[in-house]
Amino acid sequence: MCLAEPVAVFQDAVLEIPVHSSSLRTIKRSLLSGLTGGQLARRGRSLRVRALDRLNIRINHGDRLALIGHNGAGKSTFLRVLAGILTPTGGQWQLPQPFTPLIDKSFVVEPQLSGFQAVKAHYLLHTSSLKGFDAFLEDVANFSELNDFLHLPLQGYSDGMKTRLLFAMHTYFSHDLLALDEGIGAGDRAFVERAAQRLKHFLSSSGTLVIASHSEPMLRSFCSKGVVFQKGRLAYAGEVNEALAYYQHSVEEVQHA
Amino acid sequence: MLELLYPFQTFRAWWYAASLRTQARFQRTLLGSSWLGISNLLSVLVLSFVYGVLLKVPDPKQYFLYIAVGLTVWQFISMIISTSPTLLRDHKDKLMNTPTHPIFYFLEEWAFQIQTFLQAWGIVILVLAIFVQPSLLWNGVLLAALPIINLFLFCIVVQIFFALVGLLFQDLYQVIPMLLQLTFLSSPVLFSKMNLGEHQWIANWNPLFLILAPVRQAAIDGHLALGQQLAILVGNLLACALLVLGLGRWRQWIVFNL
Repeated sequence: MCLAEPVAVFQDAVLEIPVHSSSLRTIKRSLLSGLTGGQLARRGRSLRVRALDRLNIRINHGDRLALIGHNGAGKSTFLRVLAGILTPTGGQWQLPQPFTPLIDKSFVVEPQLSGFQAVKAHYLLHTSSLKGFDAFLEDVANFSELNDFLHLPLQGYSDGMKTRLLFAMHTYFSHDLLALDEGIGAGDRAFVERAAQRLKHFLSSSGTLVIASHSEPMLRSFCSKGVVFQKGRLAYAGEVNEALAYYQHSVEEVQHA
Repeated sequence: MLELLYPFQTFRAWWYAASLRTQARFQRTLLGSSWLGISNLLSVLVLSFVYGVLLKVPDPKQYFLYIAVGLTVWQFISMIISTSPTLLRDHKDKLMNTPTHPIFYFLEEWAFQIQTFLQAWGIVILVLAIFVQPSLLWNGVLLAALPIINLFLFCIVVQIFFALVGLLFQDLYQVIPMLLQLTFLSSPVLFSKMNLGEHQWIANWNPLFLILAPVRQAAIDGHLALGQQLAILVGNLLACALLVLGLGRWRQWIVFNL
């Protein structure tokens, strides 16, 4: 793929999400509204939240883009759109190939099951076959330093062990288009340095990278461009350092106001 | 249309995920998942004894056979339907944060129930073939295969239907057990259809009984309406294909309604 070729283009893209009240969506309520000529139903019409508002953005192959903004500003929603989980409800967009999302970073299996079963289920979910599984297992076991502990139930693992295992599994595969939310935890201090190396390699190996995070060092390390989201809108787009400075400035303005 | 291959491409993943759930459920028991078959056999034994006495059945062995086969199938149908209304909400985080096709979660639950059913069915068939009717081994494994495949396919269609309706009506999961109980009591599972007399239309219009009856007929009587079953198979496959395509297109609606 040519470097300047766009992998995602959004023009005035809008995403409206209906907000339903669960108390209004019941069989009882529907029966009552039927009996009362629908008056109760009319009162219960759902609200809509504009999660992305007239978004204009172009992501080229090879871009390393930082998504910056408060919680609820639209960063994660935009990642979901890039991953093809959500689709804009208005405007124009092109997304020839969805990004691989790393938003959900939990185990696939229940905690009574072993780490080995968690690793196998994760592998099957990603590849749908066991071809190459032995290499994957060996890498994950060695890197997470769990080795024989992999045959014990997950519920007996410490938080550090769980984080190391998840980190090792999620950073094994390289992705051409990667959408990452809030980084990947690295566990205890002894593990951090090795994890940083692996994370660097993992993120460098992706062709195009979009990261939503509040960690400035991480965004500065891996991204060259940055966009600032405010209430679903794109407030700023430019170099990552300038985008972070803009965001910092806007935070200070709010604090002084 | 490539979407239709998704269930086959991901077969190993959803089948393995389902078998892990069975393992997790029986992690601390000595007999493991064999409990599924044993507990089913015990409940069938108790029910056939109680109802056999109450209804003064002339042939208790045949009645035991009738109930064992009917109840094992009914429990599969009942479990599939009762877990459906909350199935999508139970996978809310995964549906919102991963691009996995929604059919994957249905297939996983469906596979889990199939694995449960097959273990219960295997033990029931084996015990009944040894002690009651040897032909059951042949009938229950080979002749009943097509009606059982239709039962499985019908159940995933019903499962998806109730899961989608469950998103619209969030109290559906409370209504389902009551509806299932009423349907069970009015279905000829514990009694013969003939006992309904002039009210046999109740059974004839009951879709759950209509999918159960051919399995029982094939297993016990060795009767298989091949043409009818093949027609049902085509209908079921068509419905499954449409739902796989539909779920892909309704993904956003599903996520918005979780």
